[in-house]
Amino acid sequence: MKRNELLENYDVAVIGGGPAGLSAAISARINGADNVLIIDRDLYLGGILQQCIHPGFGLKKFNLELTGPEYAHKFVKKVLNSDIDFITDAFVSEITKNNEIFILNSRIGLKKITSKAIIFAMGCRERTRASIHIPGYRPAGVFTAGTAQRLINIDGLMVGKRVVILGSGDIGLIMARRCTIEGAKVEAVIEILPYPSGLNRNVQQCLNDFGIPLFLSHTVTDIQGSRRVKKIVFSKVDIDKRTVAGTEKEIICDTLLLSIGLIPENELTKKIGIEIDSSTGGPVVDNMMQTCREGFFACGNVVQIYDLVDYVSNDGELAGKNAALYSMGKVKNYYNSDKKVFICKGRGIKTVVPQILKDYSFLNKNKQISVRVSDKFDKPVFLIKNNSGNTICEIKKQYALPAEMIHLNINDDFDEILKESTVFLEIKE
Amino acid sequence: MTNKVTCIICPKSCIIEAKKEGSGITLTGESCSRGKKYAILEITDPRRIFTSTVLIDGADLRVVPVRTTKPIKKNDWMNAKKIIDKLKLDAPVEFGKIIMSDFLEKGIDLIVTREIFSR
Repeated sequence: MKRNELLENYDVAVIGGGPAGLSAAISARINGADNVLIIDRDLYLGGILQQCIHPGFGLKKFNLELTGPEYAHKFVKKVLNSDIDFITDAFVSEITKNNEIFILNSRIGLKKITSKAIIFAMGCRERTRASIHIPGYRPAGVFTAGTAQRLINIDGLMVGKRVVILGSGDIGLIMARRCTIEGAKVEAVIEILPYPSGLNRNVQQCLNDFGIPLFLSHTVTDIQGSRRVKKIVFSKVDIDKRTVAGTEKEIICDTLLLSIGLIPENELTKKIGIEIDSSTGGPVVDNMMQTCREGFFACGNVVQIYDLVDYVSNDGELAGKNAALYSMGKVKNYYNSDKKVFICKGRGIKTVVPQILKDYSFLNKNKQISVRVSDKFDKPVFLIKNNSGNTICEIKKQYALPAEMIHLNINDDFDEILKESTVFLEIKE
Repeated sequence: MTNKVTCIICPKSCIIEAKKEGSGITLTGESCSRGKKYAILEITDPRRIFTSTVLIDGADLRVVPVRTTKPIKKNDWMNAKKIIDKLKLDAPVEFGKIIMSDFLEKGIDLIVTREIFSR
């Protein structure tokens, strides 16, 4: 994938050409930014969608059940048919506070450009063996599930013959099915929690359909083998996730895939001192998807880990539009607006995005907040309270699961909320 | 006979109980009409969209992603894999190109789900 030589100055530069970056760039261009650039480190645009060859994408946004590459195609085509610049196989080494971006690429070498607005859309990466300290030897054959997915679906290389998967997140479940189709024997999926961390529909269509056993409340406690994985040992855990001595079991295998969570990739963001929310792992953003630094926006999995790509695209549209308006000087003084409301997390709330609400009503109408709960709730009532404990807003939902993000529409009470400086979001007891 | 079906239509993953009585089927636990349709199909004729990859020559990539245009019988997945393992395409390949019509069944095609450029 190639485009013309880069300009010196852009209106909007987007770091990352996955679903968030693509939709941000398209939206920035539609909303009036003349010079838009996408920078991506892979050879092709589309990001991780290109390796997610299974169906299940686009149900919310297009009412279609698309595969990852099909979903990506809709956006890549739009970029190719537009005058949006892009550079692939390129790495951003640094972004400065003066809006300079340093790009490394084997064709153009090291290049410095500047951009009036910058959008972070770097997505996320996987937690590794080191993140959870699995004891044992360090042989070949231990992969993260996403790396295995890329090797199989993009590079056409199989990872092993007898596979054990640690973690029952959706990526792990999808890879259990994929490895089976590619001729491997998936011996077991092992999950530390007492319930599957992926969606039940994926447990059905990826494990049950193929008779793959799922061990709940278990974890891997040893990896054996000198050159290649020979076997793994797994044990039962108690309610505090401590391993129970005497419950060890062995599985002969040559491959261990890890599906143990995702981390927003924010090295560039942190380097210029943008505030990070420790509960999401992403930058603190307002309802315009702007970070705490003026002119720097963020969208998609770099902000928080989403369940569905459809929401990532919506995020991108919002960030792209607002970055464009910012670059055109249409919103010059809004940043210092006095009206700023912080949302604090109360009972049952694990994450909330945006963390800050501002009065942008003259620009757009994003009056939705996304929430992740810490536990399972049946018919929960979400409350937004002010500093004195009075309820401003009450939203009822049918159910709430930790695995599923919840969207709360605060449109009706938005003006009331804006009168406060801090509000508290919680689930009614 | 009672069958428990985990609905795969949406993330809610309803557990639907289907009871076969004579020629009729009675359902409990479904929360929408799509789930109802799925549960009946799941106990009479279970099907899934099949996706995998096929080898390609002349591109930056070694394989291209493919899918069936409609769900195929669950039991046919391994047969489907055997058939596509014998295929090899040449770059470039346009998005959505049919590489096999009437794949395992009449009216179901195998298509490419990514645009592949020549190297």
